[in-house]
This record gives sequence, structure tokens and C-alpha cells, in this order.
Amino acid sequence: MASIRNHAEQHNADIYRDYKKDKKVGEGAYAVVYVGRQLSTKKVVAIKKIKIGQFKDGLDMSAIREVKTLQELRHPNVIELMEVYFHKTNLNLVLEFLESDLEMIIKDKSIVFMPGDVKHWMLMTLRGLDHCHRNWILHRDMKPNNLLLGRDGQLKLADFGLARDFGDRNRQLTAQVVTRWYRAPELLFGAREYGYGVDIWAIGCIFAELLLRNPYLPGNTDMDQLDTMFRALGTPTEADWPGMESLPNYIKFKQYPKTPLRLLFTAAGADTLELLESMLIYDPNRRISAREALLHPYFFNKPRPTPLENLPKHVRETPEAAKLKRKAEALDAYDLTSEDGKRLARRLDFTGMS
Amino acid sequence: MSSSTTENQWLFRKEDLYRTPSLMSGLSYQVEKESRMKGVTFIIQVGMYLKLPQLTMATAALFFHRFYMRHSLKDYKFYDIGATCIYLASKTEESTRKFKDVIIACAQKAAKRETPIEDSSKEFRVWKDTIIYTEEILLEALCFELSVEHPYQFMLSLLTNHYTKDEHRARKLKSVAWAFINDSLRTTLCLLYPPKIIALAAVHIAAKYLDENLNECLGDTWRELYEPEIQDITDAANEIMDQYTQFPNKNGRSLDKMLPGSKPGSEYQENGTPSYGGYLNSPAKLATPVYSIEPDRPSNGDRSGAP
Repeated sequence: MASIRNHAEQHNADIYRDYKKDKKVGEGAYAVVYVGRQLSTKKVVAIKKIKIGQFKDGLDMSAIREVKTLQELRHPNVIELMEVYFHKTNLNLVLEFLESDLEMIIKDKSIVFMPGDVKHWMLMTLRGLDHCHRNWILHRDMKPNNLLLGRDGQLKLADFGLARDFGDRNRQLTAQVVTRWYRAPELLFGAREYGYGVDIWAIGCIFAELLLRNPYLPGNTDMDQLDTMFRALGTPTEADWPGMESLPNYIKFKQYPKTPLRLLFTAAGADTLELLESMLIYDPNRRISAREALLHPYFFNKPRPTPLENLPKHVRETPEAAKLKRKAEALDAYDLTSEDGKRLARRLDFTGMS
Repeated sequence: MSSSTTENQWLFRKEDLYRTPSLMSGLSYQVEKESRMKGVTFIIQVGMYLKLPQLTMATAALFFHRFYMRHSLKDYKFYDIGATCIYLASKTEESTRKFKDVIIACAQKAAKRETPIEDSSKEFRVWKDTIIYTEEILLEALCFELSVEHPYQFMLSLLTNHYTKDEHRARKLKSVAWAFINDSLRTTLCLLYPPKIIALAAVHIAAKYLDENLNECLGDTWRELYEPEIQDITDAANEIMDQYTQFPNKNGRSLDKMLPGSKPGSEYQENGTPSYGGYLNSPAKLATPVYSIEPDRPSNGDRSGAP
């Protein structure tokens, strides 16, 4: 009788053989990202290689968080984790590959945003985030370049290396999360207990950035971040935000007056500004939730969200990229035949052409 | 017949426990069963030393049981795997401890010594290398499934939302059911039944102990949950009770030690929960099993009766 022993090792080896890394597309503190292919389906994938060998404490927490949360979250607006495998001492996460991200689109000044475009991006971001929050997971690193865009226009939340579960009031969380420009005021004041509000604040900043085409609150240091924030939105008082003064790193700031958002966002409609304002409420308890935001009139009023296929795309088909693509296709043909031990392609494959 | 129709690759039939990697490599059913118990007891001892939440220990135990459905006890010592399971679970359950502290706790509890080892010792290095090396094998064996469910949550929400009598009795019922779930960790129950069934079985036995009538105090909710699954729940309850009849002295002793400390993270602990170690150790209770043990149960050596 066949034993189930070694089944897992075999499984791992099978997965490893099915993926091929083509090109390095990015390198972070603990991982290298490649674009690659699944040989059996020819699907283009992103492979995130995590170097665990270098961690003296075993597998890194970020990798564990990312694997665990992506397994729990399956949603059209959350990046899909297709496989996980070990090779040598590296952990590899196979993720669906998406062409661009919101940051690229925002920076590409040749693209003009229509209000309906911004609305659809916000809608997809909030749907993805609402799914996270309903599963008691905080993303904790919402920013435009973690919002990936597929060729079909779908927006997906990515990079869950900082994500973790919340809701347990007894647990202390670290305030050192979220890229500075998108960091909520409670985090800047060192709050150790916080919730979905930190992600909503970040979305508010992204929303503002989509409207302005520039970062809304670009602070240079943590202190400058608070200053920039208070200049833009007015310094909060204890009445605006009960409990603020008892936060661990609370510092008294100069009292800037509150200026209405419409002075800066001159082109935005009243419903747009109302939603934006409810995301940027200082008191995290009064800040809107993802669920409530999705039901906001903004999403039901005209203009309708731009249909997916008409959303602006970041075109990046430089001559170099085209050359690479052709090379990849040539490699494909080679791989197919080399598996059979033959040197020349006998069969031409036209499935990749359109 | 298991009622679970989920595609969960981690739910097995009882027959499968007779062709585990350990059994295929020549160990006996009884040896595997005892090793699993010792392994989880080790996990709990280390977990308590490190003051890990109960859920983290439960996750470590679940990882441990799943691992030995993929690998043999002959190839991987249960202390090594137990230690690695604790370390991994402390990370997946967001209750990390310093790697150094985990190593020291494991070394101390495995060797049953009184004093902690030095972090410059050879023993420390060996444990450290073992855990790092084994972590990868463990993750692979688990197919990277790090998100797991336990019976606790279902039990607590059932008794919190549907119990109709006074709060004090609800708390008492919760704490006894909680203790039975803790005890189930040392058995292979989590490989046979989904968390919901184990939770219902624990509530069922807890009610018997406290002479509570669940039809009365949970009403229709209980009947709707219990009746369709009666076979599995009875089976699971028997499986939990087996421990006390098969190894009464051994586990009676360790129960005493583990129960009072095994409740961090629970919600009923605030208001003077009675020490319930006593329920389980009272000889009168142990002498009369809640269920009569069916003669054809596979765990008693006769496999013909397995469904």
C-alpha cells in the first residue's frame, strides 16, 4: 500500500519544477521579486523569493504574515497567492503578476484622470480593504504602489508583509507601520492599540493623491508629518479627538486653523469631499469604515465609475520590454522541446498570439 | 462515517490512522499514540513556561499532529518537531517570543532539568540548528497552511450567545468545556473532526459533568446543532474521554498541573473562575465514563468495526 510519506516533498518539488524565473523586477529588504512563468499553463507570474537562509531566527515574520493572510483572503481585489515552495534555502511565493500599480499611473502625467476613473479605483481599493477588515486583518501598508493594476484594469491590494489580525483588545501592536505619508495621526502619536482606522486614513491620503496627482501629506520626518498634516487639516483639539492627549508620544503642536478641503480640491464635487473628509477624521473611532465608505452616496451619484476596460493604463511597452517578451517566447518554445530531449521546435505554437 | 464533506486535506478517516508514516515504518499504533501525547504534553509545558496564549499552544499541537501524517516518528524525534511547532505557532499566532527563550525553554523541558541551559553551550547550538533546519521541513509538510481554526471560538460563541440560564453557570460550563478542548489536543481528534464537532463534543461532556441539560439551557440551538451530527459528536466525545480511562494516572497528574494555567486569553477568566482541575481528577467521575466504550472501537485494537 502506498504510504502518504514524502507526499509533501514530492509536491514541493513538482511545484518548483513548474515555475521559471525570467527577470528580476524588484528587490526589497528581505525579498527579491521576479517575473516568471508557470510552465504548464504559460501563465505569467510574479515570484517573490524570500531569503530565509540569512535570518538567524528562522523564517521571517513578514513572510509568515504574508503567506498566512493571503491564504485567508481570497478576493478579486486582493492579490492571489498561487503557490508557495522552497528551493534551496529560499522561500518562494508565486503571486499573480500585475503589470503596473497606482503610483505609476499617478506619476504618468501623460494620462488625464476622469472623475469616474478615480471613483472606480477607490471602489476597488475599498472592496479589497473591506474584505481584509471583515476577516479581521489590517493591511498596515496601504500606499499607491501597493495597489497593483492588472491588464484588465482590476486593482488588487498587494504586499501583506506588515498585515496582521486585529480585534483583540488585549494585544499591543507596534506603531511603526505604514509608509510615513500615509500614516494615521494615532500611529504618529505612538498608539499601541488601533484598528481599521489606520488603513482608512491611508486610503484617504491615496484618494487625495488621486485628486491632486501629487502626494497629499508629504512629511520629511515623523515630526514634520504631523506638522504637514495639521497645516492641511487643522490641529486637532481634545474635543475633536478625545483621548489624543493621553497617547504615548503626544506632543502639543501649534494651533493651525482648519481650512475647508474645497479650497485645495477645487475641482472635486461635494460628495467626493464629504467622503474624503470622513476618511481623514482625526478621531479613529469616528473615522468612516470601509463598509460605510462603500455605501457612501459618492459611489451612487453620477458620474458612474469608469468601466474596467476603459480605465487608464500605464503603457510601458518600450523597445527593450518588447525584445524581452520575444526572448521569453523563444525560451518557451525551447523549454517545451527540451523536455522531450529534442533540440528543435517541431510544433509552432500560436496560442500566445492575438 | 464522518459527516464532513469539506475538501480539507487535513481531515482523515479513522482507518488512515493505521497507515500513518510511523506505522508504515514499523512502529505500533500504541507507540505512535503515546508519542503524540508526549509531544503535545511537551508543547504545553514549553508553552506555559513561555506564557504563550492557549490558542498558540493549540496551533502548535495541530501542526504537530499534521506533521506526523506526512513523516514518521522514526525520522523526526517528537521533541524536535514539538519545539519547531511551538516556534512556528508563536509566529503565526502573533505571540512571538525571543528565539533564545524558546530554545532555552525547549532544552530545559525536554531534558526535564531544573536550571536553564547557557546560551553559549553546545546543547543550545544543537537545539537552535535543529529548529531552524526543521522549520523548513515542517512548513513543507504543512503545505504552508498556516491559518488554522480551533474549537474554542465556536464553543465560546455558542455558550455566549445562546445559553439561557444565569451567567455564572454559563461561565462554569465554558471553563469545563475549555478544559476538555485543551485535553483533546493530545489526541488525534483534530485530524478526524472539524473544530465545530470537537467544540460540540466538549460542550456535551462538560454538560454531563455539571449535570446541565443542554436541551433546556441551549434549547433549539442545541438540538439543531446536535441531532444531525450525533454520531460524530458521540464519537469525538468518546475519543476525549478515552484518555482518562486509558492513562488515568499519567494524565491525571499532568492535568492537575496544566489546567489552572491553561486559560490565558479566554474571556471568562476575570471573575473568579473555579479551579476546574478538580472535576477531571475526581476519582468518582473518572470511574464512570460518560459514555460506555463500544467494544468494536478501533482504538481498542479491533479494526473490523471501523466505519
